[in-house]
Amino acid sequence: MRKALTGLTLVAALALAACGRPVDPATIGGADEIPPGPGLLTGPSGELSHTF
Amino acid sequence: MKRILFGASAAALLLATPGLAQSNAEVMRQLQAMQAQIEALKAEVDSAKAEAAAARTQSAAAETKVTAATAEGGALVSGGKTGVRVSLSGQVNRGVLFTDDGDSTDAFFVDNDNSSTRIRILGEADYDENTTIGTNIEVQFESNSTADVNQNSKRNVGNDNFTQRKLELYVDNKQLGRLTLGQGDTASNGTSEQDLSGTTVIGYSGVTDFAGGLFVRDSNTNALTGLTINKVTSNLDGLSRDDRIRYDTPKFSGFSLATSAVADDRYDVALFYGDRLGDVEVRGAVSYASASASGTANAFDIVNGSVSALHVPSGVSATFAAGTRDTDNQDNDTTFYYGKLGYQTNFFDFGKTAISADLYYGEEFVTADDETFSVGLQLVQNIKKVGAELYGGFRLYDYDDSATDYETLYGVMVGARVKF
Repeated sequence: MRKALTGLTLVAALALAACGRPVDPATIGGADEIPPGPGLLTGPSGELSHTF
Repeated sequence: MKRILFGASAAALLLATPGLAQSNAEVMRQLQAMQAQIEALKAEVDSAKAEAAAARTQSAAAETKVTAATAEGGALVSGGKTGVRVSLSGQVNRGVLFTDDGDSTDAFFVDNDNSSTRIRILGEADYDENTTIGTNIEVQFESNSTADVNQNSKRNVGNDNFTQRKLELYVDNKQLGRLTLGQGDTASNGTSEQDLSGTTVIGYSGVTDFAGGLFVRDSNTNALTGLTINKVTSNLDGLSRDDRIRYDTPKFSGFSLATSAVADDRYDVALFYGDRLGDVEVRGAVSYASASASGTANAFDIVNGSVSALHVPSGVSATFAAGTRDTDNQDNDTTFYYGKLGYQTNFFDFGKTAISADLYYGEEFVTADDETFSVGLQLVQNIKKVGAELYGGFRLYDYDDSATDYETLYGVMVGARVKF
C-alpha cells in the first residue's frame, strides 16, 4: 500500500511538472515583502514612479 | 362748427409749443444717458468675454499638463530638484481565518500578518554614476491582525494607526556597498526566511504569523491557557527590525556580507547568497546575532539560517530553515527546524499557480521540555494583470510539555493580497 501511494505521488508530481510552464524566479517575492512585478495601479516596474 | 374746433385746436397747439420744446430736450438728455449706460455695459460684456476666453485657455493648458503628467506616471506634484526618483507602492492583504481550538470554532476577518497591509515611498537620487542616495519610508496598518485576534478578542483588535516598518536613508556605492541608517531590517532579519516557493503570503518559516494571537486550550480543564501561538513558536529570525546602522558589501560571485549595530549592545552579522546554478535558482542566508540584557530581558545569542532552491524548468522547490537561541540564565536552548516542498507553474495565462506543504518543529520556547509541531498546506493563484494573489492555507499547531495536555489547534485561511 505504501509503495503504491509513493508511486502515485511520484507519478502525480512528474505529471504536474510536465504539464506546467517554467516560472521566472525574479517574479518570486521574499517573505513579508511587497511582491515584485506590476500592481493594481502600476506598470511593469511595480511602482508608481516619477522622476523630477 | 368745424371751423370753431380747428381754431381751438390750433390755439391750444400754439399755447403748448414752448412746453413741447422743453420736453424734447429732456428726452434727448435721457437718450444720451441711456446711450452712455449701454456703452458702459457693452464694455463690461466685452471685458467678461475676454476673461472667459483667458480662463478657457488657462484651463486647456492645465488639462494638457495633467494629461502629460499622468502619462508619465501619475505624479501631479513638482519637485525642487531634478533627477530625483520617487516611487509609491504598497499592498492590502485581507483574509478570513477559521479556527478550531479543540473546543470552540471561530471565524475572524483579519489582516494577514504573513505580509501585512502597508504603504511604501522610496526616494532616490544619483550623486554620480556609481553612487545613489536614497530614502525609504514603509509603514503598515493592521486592523485585526492574525498576530492579535484570539478567542476572547475577535473585533477591532490591534493598533488603530500606522506602525513603523522602515524609516531609513542610505548611501549606495557600486564598489563600496551600501550604508543604511534608521529603522529597518537588521543584517540578520530575513535570514531564516529565504523561500522560493512562491507561497510565502500564506505560509513560510514564520508559522507564527498564520494565527499567532490564538490561545492554546488545556485538554483536561478545557480552559484557555495563557499560552498563545506567538509564545510557543518562532523562526528565530535574528534581531528583526530596529533602529540601527547597517552596512552591506557589494555582491561577489553571488555572496554578500552584512552587519548592523543597535543600541543596548546588540549587533549581528549575516552572509547572503543568491545566484543561478545551471537550472537551479538558489538563495540562502546564515547569521549570528547577539543581544545584551536590557530592562527585564536576558542577554541572548542567535545562530540561524535558511536555504531555498528552485528547479526552474520543473517549478519544484525545496526550502529548509533552522535556528537556535541561547539565553543567559535559562536552561532551555530554543531551537526550530523548518522544511517545505513547493511546486509552481503557469497553468493559466493570467498568472502562475503555486502550491506547497511544510513542516515545523520547535522546542524549549517556554519550558525546558516543551515541543511545538506544525504542518501547513498552501495554495496561491496569481492574477498578474491586477497585481493580485488569491490564496488559501491550512495550518495545524500542536504544543506539548510535561505538565499539561493541550488541544491541537487548527486554522484555515482564505484571502487575497492586492498590490498597488
